[in-house]
Amino acid sequence: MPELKKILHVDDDEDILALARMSLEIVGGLEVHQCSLAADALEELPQVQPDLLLLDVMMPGTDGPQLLAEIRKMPDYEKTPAVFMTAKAEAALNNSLKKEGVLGVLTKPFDPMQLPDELRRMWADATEGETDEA
Amino acid sequence: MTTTRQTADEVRRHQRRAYFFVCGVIVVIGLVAAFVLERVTASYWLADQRKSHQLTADGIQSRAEARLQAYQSMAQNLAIFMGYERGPQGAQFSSLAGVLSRDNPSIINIALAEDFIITRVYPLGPNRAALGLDLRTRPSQIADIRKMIAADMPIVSGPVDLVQGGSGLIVRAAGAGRTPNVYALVLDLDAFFAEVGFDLTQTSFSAALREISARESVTKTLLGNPDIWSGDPVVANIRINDERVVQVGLVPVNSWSVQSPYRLGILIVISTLVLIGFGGANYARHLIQERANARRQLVAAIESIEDGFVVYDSDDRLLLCNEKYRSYYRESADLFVPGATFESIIRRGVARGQYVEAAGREEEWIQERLADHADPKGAVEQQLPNGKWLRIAESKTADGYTVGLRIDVSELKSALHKAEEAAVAKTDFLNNVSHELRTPLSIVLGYVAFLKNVTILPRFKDLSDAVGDTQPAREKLDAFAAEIAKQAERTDRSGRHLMGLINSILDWATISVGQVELEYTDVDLGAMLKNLTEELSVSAKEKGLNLISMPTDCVIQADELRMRQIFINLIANAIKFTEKGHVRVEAVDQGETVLIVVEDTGPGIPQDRLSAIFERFGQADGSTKRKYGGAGLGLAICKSLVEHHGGVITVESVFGEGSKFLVILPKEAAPAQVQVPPAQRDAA
Repeated sequence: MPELKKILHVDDDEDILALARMSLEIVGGLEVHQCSLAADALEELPQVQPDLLLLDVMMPGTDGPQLLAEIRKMPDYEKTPAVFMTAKAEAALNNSLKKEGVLGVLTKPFDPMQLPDELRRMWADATEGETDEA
Repeated sequence: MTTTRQTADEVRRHQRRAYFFVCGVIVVIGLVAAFVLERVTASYWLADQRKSHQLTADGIQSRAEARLQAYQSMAQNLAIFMGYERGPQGAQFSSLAGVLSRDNPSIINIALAEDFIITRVYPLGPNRAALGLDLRTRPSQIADIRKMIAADMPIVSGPVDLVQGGSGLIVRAAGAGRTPNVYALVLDLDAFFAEVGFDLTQTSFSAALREISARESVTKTLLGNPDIWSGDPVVANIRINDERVVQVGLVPVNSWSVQSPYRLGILIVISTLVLIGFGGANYARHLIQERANARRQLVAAIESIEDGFVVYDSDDRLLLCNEKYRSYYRESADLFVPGATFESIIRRGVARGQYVEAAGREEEWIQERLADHADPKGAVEQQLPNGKWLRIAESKTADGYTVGLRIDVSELKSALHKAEEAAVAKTDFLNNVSHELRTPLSIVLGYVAFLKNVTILPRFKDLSDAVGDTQPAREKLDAFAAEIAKQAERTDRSGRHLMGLINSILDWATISVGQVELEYTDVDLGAMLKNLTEELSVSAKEKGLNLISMPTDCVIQADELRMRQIFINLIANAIKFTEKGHVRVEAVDQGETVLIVVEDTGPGIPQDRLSAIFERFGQADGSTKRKYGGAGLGLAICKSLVEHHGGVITVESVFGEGSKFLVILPKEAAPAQVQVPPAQRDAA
């Protein structure tokens, strides 16, 4: 799997979007595309063609898992790796989110200094798994 | 109830009527039987009587005819004997007649007629008047005499009225010659018949005698009571001669008995049978009453049950159900008729919408219900159209009957529903609070993170580039950056502390509403404790404490994350409160349980605070809270988690010397009975 470069981030909170952009761009040096609505994300997805999806779980309207399900229905995105971000308290929730292609679940608040490393580590773990499979 | 709704009084009246009816029938049958028996035996008895009297009459007849024969022979012999005599016959005749008269008392006299004129008579005294009588002057007699002479056979004439008075029979025989001597034995009629058994003095029967003659249409009674002839007598005809017949008639003394001689016997036997019949009917009535009473009591008992009760027989047909049962199934109450099959009841019930759960999957539901009914496996619940819930408890009897109870569990169900709703609401609330608290905090901490590293911000880099190496601006800028970073550091620390508090509160809240789900795995307790002490050894070293972990190899079934949480809390607590000395961790295998001891040389806990230490916000005293911080929830969370694992946590402490926390956990998974309503699992 190639190096992690481009991320599509979906969250309804403006501040989280700003923080994540600063973290991923300034600290991580990654390319970030952001949407505050699930509908926008679905629309922009073909142009962005991200390596990784970073999705908030709790969003008004279509929530994170529903959005991922929609994305999975689109051709070419059946296996695009995804990471969820949640502020929910329950650990049990994490298990329900961990479906195919979901690399991990991050808990808010996240440390902007650590976020890019965290995503890279998940990316590498998944890649390693794939190499092993090959 | 499916049985007829009769009051006890009505039933009793009905039974009494039936009883009296049966008794009436028994009496009627008894009377008819007695009457028939009486008639039959009476007719046999009458036949017997007639037969017996006929025998008597026949006896009289045969004896009379035999005697007449004998008298004829006697007369004949007399004639023959006298025919041998020569000369005057007077002395000889008298001698023979005397002998005959003496031997036969029926003979009144014996006469000799010579040339049809009576010449001699014995005994002479009373019969002297007869001497010289010319028989030819008596036409009725001379005809018989001439007939006798012509036939040369003795003859009986009569009955005739005798010149001596009374009636008699005359037996004649003739001697030899053209005008032979005629000998006549005159018999007294009464005496003759008495001699042959026609006895009017005896008491066994009444008799009468009359002549039957073709010539005389009116027959007259010769002897006995003439009334007999109108009393349907038995008769026998005695032939006197070719022309004359005498009839003897007999009836019993009190005429014919038309009553059975067994009357009394019949009465006794029939009465006994009727009484036995009464007894039987009474016994049957008693049994029926007893059975009815038992059934009524059973029905009353079933009717008084507060829940719906129903019994189906081994063919799965309704036997009975109580009113409560019908009242539950309002839509199909009229279907509960004894004899209706269970299947027909539920099928028609489904068609009427009686069973809410069947809607949309009728056939499937019916099949499931039938299977449950045929082989009950514990209680099931059923919803009714009015929103009520029934618990159905069915079981089979040894005879294959199905007994069912319907218990209204609506209140229970609604309480459970409310509890589930409340639990869901709590979970939702917790998630929302968590979200609402963490989101702004994430932003605070997020931006602070950049302020801590203010130099990496592009704008700062721009400013830095603009300032360049120009002194003292460079120095001031660096000092400003350092100031910001320092203040951001403090903000960050407080922010993280706040985050820690929020996390504890949410954690405790989650645990206290019973929403903890433990994921059991095999936990190597030794390895875990070693790992934890290594992690925490940094903070221990900072305070100059000796953190000791005793090696152990003990594996238990537990939720590893929660185990870590418990012991991090206990060990970190010990480190936090201990200023000098050591913190010692030890696990002891106790067979089925394991004991983990966390011991410190801290300030200890006053005795009066020991019990409060595990309560929320229960630090040893108010001042420690200010000194050590923390929400005071750590031990409460520990206690709750240990108890969720089925374990126990206690504390021992000597004030001023140190504390010892003891945790006992089962090795095998033995979670405490924490009720987690099903709805909660789906609440996420």
